[in-house]
Amino acid sequence: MRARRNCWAKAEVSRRRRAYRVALRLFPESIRHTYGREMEDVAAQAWREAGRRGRVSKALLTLRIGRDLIVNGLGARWEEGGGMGQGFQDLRHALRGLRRRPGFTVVAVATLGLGIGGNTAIFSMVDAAFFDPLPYPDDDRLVVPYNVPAPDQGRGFAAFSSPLFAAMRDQGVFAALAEMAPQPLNLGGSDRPERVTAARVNAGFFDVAGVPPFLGRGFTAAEATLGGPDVAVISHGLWERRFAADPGAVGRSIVLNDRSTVVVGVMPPDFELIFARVEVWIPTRTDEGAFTLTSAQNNNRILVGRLAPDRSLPATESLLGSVSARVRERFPGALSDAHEIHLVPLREHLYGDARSNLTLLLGAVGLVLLIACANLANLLLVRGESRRSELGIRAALGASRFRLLRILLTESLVLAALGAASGLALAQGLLRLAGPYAPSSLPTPVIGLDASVIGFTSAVAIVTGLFFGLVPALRGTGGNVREALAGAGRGSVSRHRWSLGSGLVVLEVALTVVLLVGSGLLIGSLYRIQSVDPGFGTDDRTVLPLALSASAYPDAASLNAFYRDMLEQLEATPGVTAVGLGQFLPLNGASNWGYEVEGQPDRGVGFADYTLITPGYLEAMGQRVVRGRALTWDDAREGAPEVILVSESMAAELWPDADAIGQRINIDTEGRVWREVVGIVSDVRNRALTREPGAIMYFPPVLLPMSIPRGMSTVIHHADAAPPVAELRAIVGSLDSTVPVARAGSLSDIAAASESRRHFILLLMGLFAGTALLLAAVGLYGVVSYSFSLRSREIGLRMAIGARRSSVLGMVLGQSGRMVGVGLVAGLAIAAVSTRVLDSLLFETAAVDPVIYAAVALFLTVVAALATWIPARRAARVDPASVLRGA
Amino acid sequence: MSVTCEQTRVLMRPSGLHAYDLPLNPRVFAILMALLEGAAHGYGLKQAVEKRSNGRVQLDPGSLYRSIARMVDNGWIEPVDAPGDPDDDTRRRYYGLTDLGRRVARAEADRLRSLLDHASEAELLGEG
Repeated sequence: MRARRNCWAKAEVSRRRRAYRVALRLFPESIRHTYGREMEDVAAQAWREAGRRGRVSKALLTLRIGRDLIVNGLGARWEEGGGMGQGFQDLRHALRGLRRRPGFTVVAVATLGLGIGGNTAIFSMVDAAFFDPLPYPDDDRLVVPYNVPAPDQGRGFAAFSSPLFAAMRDQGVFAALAEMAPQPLNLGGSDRPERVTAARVNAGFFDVAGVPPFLGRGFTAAEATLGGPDVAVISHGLWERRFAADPGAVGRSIVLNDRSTVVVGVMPPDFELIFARVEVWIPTRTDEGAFTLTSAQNNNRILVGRLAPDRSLPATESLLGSVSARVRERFPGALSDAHEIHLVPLREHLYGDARSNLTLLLGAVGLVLLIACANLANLLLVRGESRRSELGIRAALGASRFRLLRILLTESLVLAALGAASGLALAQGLLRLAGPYAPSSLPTPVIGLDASVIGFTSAVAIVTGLFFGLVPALRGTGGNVREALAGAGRGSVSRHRWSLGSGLVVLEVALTVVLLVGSGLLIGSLYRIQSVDPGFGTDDRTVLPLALSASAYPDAASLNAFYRDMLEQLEATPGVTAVGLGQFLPLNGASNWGYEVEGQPDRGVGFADYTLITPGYLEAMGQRVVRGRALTWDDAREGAPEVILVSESMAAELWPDADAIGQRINIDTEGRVWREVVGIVSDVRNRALTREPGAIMYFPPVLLPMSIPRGMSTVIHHADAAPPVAELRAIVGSLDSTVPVARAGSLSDIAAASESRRHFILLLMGLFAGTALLLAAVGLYGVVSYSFSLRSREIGLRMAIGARRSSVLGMVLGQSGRMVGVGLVAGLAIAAVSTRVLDSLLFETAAVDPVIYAAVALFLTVVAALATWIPARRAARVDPASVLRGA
Repeated sequence: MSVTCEQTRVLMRPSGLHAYDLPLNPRVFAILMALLEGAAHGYGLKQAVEKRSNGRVQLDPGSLYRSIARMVDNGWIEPVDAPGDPDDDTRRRYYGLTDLGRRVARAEADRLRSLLDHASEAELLGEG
């Protein structure tokens, strides 16, 4: 028994010895040769001893010996190689080699730069959306409440009515709860009045943000109540502009909507919460005693809460469960029975939609990088092949395989570093270039050398360098030295190297096809979107936003008088063909309102988009009155009969079998006021070009439950050239010099902006696909020309014994055709499976659209044929005599 | 015996040692100390060093022989004939201290002592 155990132990020790002997190869030859045997003995003895102490110490010893081998083996190699000095020598060697072949170096660095640059640019955006902390202390404690009318119908919206906000605040479950409502203001008190973006906020706003004011303070609870003093907190930018950055600005006054307002605070630079570019914050003025059903239905403020320190998001959410019921009790009919309040982390609210798009772009650009790597591997493979003789000589002169690997790896790491540097520059350029086109829903990263972006680029560069350096390096040094020396430059065929190269080309082609199909689908969608008729004219229409203050124009009559005068003057301007004012322009943020239909009590309350319009608006927009009549100034007169226009879709929906003209609609929740439909207006796509036209109500600019709109947009339809903004400003200024006239845009800008995200993604996808195609073509060209330069001897022989030029050409084309064919089929198959991730971005285009797939296949085949044609012709031009002589 | 470059450098200095070589790697110093007691083979060195340092200095085969190889190259130690211990495995190679090695060890010990003196003067260490 004992003998048997001994035998076992011996067998184990000899097994370990064998393993140790193999691992000893980590040490340089010199040490291994002299001391290897002794080291083995010492290790064996240590094991024997540890074995007596038990299994655990044996295992620990094994770990220790493994670590010892790696650390000291590599350390000894490093010393042997001359330490750092050798590294510098390798570096110098690599740089010299790269300088000697500028063509190869430029192509390699450019290839890598394209891949790394694209990755870095997209990663900066991903970084901003996923990882960058939001600029508020404990930003992960901030949540945005969502108003969910019915949980089974989507995630709701982030807007609340005043009474609902008050009920949530009174529940007291947050550490602080901010309410904010955007409100444009006229900033007067200087020669040129300005229109500034402002927000009405409560005192809790500053507690939620947690950002201390740069100067002064936020609002007190007493200031943010009905009848509080006129105070304001201003942005850093406005402080610099209006007060020339005077530290004594706090306590001084500005004129907001004709009211003198005391500045109590200045926020730090770049401060914003939810609403971008706010320059003035003014306190809320809610009369909570006068809440009505209407106020409970008017969801016009967005809330942000800071979670209480000891309360999680779900716990807070469940504590809000009873709020809906309380509001329902006070205002029956204001909320549905299923109404709920959900909480969404602020980051998700801001970037949730963008994330899937960014992941998509990151995936696409990752494919580009992969293609770039494959291409480089190919380039280095070819280069390694042509350097076999050089390496053979070095090996013959005594360079170890380790040393050769080091030289080759240094070279690829240098390439990767150069590629990363050019990629970083490219990324900066790309972000700067793409920045203006980036839709606001995608986070625009601060363009700069962010540490994490640098980290990412370096990681990509190093991994790339190792990846594309290692394969050719291993292959390059693996061959038999003598064989390499003998076969050097003789044009012999190296079969497996060839197949590795063509494998890489197949991969490149397949990935390129995926990107091309993705871009093709997006182009198809955009084409279809662009050919959608929005229902209004977008050309030759200038838009001039306008706002009149409540103190100078307190009622509908004074507003309308101004509008009328202004429109008459504008209409008289040469070149202007039609002009009118509208509250909400299509594709520019719609608002909806509840209504009920006379004689259809079963229908209950429906919702439709609405807008106030002046006479002339429909003509200026290029909309038609299908039946009935347009609005007149008489309709806007106080005391005039209440009238309304409805869109075609709305008329068809509400009165499918009857004439809509003469029917009546009520939109007032307190007491009924029936408004008569006097006209039916042609449909427009109001919410998005991709959404079918829906119900829209058009009102004259009179006093309505949703209050008189202070902000209106003037639509000016003109002949070829738009009238200069200065001229328009002069016209408005001649009527009232305190009315600010903002920069004018055009309707086509607004329509284009509504599709900006799709455009932006297409722009980037197109860029990536184009890059991929270029890289794949270069790769194909490289592999084909390389493989035939290797086979030049064979081709020469064939031609010497009578092969025709055309058959050689056919052979070359056939070979590249096989690679492209395999890649194409694989790529189309991958695309068919993977392009479903694009679904949300596609419009009237199937993810598997046969036309686009066929177009991509054709396009790629043509490009591939071109990339093959040049080397193929060269192969066919081989002069058999010279080839054979050189052999 | 030919004089290596390292030796020339050391021998040229009156102090006997170029400052460049000091401080010694603790493992190297421990091996030199162990060899002061007489020649030893690899495993013996390992045991001696580990025992003397109460296990604080561990010599696994890789680090042991990397140090030995370097010290042999520097001429601090050299392979010697096995002392006539009949029990011992004849295959084992013994290493002994050279004169240079002894001086290197002394220089290091001097360096350490002066460090300790400094520490005492600064009253970092308690009396006695």
